[in-house]
Amino acid sequence: MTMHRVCGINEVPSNALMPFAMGRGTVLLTRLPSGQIKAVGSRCPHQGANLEHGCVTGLACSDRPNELHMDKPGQILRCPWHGFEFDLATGESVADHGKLRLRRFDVEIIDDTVFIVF
Amino acid sequence: MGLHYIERHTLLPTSMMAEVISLILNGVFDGYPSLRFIILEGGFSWLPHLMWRMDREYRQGRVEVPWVKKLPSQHIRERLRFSTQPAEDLTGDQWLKLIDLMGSDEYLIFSTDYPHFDFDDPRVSIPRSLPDDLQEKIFWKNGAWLYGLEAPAQ
Repeated sequence: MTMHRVCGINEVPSNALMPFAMGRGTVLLTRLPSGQIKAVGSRCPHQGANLEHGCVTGLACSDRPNELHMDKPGQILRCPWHGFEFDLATGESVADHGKLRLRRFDVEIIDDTVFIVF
Repeated sequence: MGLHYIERHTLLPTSMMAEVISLILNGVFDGYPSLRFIILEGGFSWLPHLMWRMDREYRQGRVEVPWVKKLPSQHIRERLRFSTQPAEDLTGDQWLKLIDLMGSDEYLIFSTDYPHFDFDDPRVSIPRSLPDDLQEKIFWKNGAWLYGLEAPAQ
């Protein structure tokens, strides 16, 4: 197990992604509205797009045709290539309930410093 | 839709696809949980394509139709059945390949379209090389399920 020091806890943005180079890849960090910090791989499991260029948004929901409301603000990552949506809390794709899944990394906070455990 | 009748007739499945797409993406099946449809006279060989294509569209475009709660192919599996006519003179092997791609042998229901000129004769349009249990499903069991009918007394 390796601990990678990333940054101070206050440097992780909400509603955005912060890239962190780790080994040959990149990990993306974001702060959920709950305050929890999540770290995911930067490659889309669909066709490999660089998710660093994706957007953090909410989940469009509806119980009736042509009525929309947004849920889970700041928790959904949309791929910049094909628009696939992933829930940053779980890493699972939204449309097919996790058939595709983001690579997830464990995060530890020690003395206000963010570490990725790998 | 085509200058010649043969063009329009060849294109008929596209209108069936449009109906299926409209039913699913406008939330009919999410709004009416017990409603089922059978698609008539449009064939079925296009069904695997539509399931793949709609699922792919849903994965990238769900945000536009969030009232649709399931993958479109799942709605198709649960709510739609397809009549066999026109069976398109497929061989037995081609039937089996298509059914394999659909993922179930319970979606197809025999129909003749008689007395239209392009009717299917039940004695020859469904290849006799298909397994007996599959023929039974196509000829009556799948239809009986759709309409909530019991098996006839032996």
